[in-house]
Amino acid sequence: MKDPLNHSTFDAIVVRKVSKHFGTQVVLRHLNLKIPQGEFVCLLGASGCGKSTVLRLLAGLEQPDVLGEEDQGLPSLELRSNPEPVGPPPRLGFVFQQANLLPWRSVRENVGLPLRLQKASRATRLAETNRSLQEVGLTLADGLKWPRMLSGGMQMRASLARALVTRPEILLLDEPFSALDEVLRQRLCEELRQWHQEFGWTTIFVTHHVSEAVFLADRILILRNLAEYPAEDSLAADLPIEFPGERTSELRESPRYVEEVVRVTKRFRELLR
Amino acid sequence: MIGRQRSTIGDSRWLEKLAMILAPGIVLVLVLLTWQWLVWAREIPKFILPSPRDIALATWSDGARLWAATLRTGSAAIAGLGISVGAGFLLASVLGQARWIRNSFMPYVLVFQTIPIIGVAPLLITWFGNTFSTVMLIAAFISIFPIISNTTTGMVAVDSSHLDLFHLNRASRWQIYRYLQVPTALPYFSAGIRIAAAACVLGACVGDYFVGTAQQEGLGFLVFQAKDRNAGLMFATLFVLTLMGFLFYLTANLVCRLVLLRWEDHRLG
Repeated sequence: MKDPLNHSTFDAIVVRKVSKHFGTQVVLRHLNLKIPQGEFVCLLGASGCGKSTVLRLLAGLEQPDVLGEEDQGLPSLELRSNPEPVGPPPRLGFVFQQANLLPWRSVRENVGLPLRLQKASRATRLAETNRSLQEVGLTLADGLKWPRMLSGGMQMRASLARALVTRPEILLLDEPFSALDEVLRQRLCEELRQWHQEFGWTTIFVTHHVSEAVFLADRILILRNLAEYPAEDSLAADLPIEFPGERTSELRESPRYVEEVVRVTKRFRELLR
Repeated sequence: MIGRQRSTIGDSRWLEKLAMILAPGIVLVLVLLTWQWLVWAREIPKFILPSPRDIALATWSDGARLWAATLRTGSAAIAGLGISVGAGFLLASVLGQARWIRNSFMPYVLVFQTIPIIGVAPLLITWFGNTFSTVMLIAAFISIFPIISNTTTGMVAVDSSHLDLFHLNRASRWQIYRYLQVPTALPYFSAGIRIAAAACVLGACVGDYFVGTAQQEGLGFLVFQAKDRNAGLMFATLFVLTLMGFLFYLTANLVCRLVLLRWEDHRLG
């Protein structure tokens, strides 16, 4: 069991002066981030402010803009698995907004897909898939079903299992629980925070729910919508969130949690026009 | 009382099922009887419209000839379908790899489709002679287009979020093709096969019509031969052709359904 706070000896994610535009629309401008290893960061912002784009850039699904002459300095996206700048890139896990399971493959085959694509041996694939399924609370019998036979919540668990099957060091989650009902969402958030405590991933969780972000995050980053603030940089606020003790369902009833939700909501509203 | 009601409902369902099976048969018998009566009552000459009885007699007396022609046309249609399924899938796999390939070659595929078979058949005879291969190639020519067109559509209908998943795991082009494009294209491919299955019978029949000789006659040739001399045999041949097309379609449909059981919520309408 790792304590992420004791492992914050190096920055696992460093983003310097990264911008991104699609067509004529600038989505991100001069984004700077430093996320220590093991930290849980929530990206909060209105729709269209580039939250998901940040994750896609980090995952290599999009390329950052090449900067013009007026932007001096080196734009970069760096992901590290150890304090040394050299060494293998960290293993990434990505959870999409939808469960995104292949309908023609069983749940188990879906979970093991990243290992199949990495050409892992059959024995490794089976062992890691079973481990991953059990870690997210699915049974081996669930693994034999077709994705359509699972409920929305269970499909999302399968999607999480697929992200965890490669034992990631960095976990990126793009509004993973947005399609689920409130009770299920709260429960999955509690479990996710427990797993984070256990496995010590460096985690970025994109959401537009303030209460969800406050519950999960060690730090909340609020992004600006550049369509409304065309002259500003993307990062609008960097708010540390600290609670004594573990994040369990009781936390939601504590006055400290309610105060934090109010504080972050207030800050969020100030930044929205 | 409740038990009684249940059994009544059960009975009526059983009767409905029986009626559903029997109804088409009753319609067929009625049509045949009316046809027979019309030919008899109006004294319609045999060479214009033979009665069902004449057709049955012709089928009986020329049974061996009809059977041999059926085998010849049927095997040409199956072989032609095999070629169009294999070649069509391979071509669609290549077309599905990049937009520039589709832009470069798709117009020619479309032009190829519009060439009338009446013009192509004599050319194929010049190249391959009056042989079984020519009939088979004509069947393939007619049935390949729905396979290419449908399968190519399927190859490029890949869900972008599924593609992200594969890129995220640094999948090779081959892995994307094998694990994502082919499974996505399968329902489209099978829809193409269903259309091609009916088309290949038509192709084999047209092929026989052009290629057939007295020594090697298929159903297309037999219709042509029987036209003036034996209207009963001509009608019998037509029925066999219709039945063959229907059976090909049913078989293709069944095979596709079995293959696509996994796609239950993903299947084309």
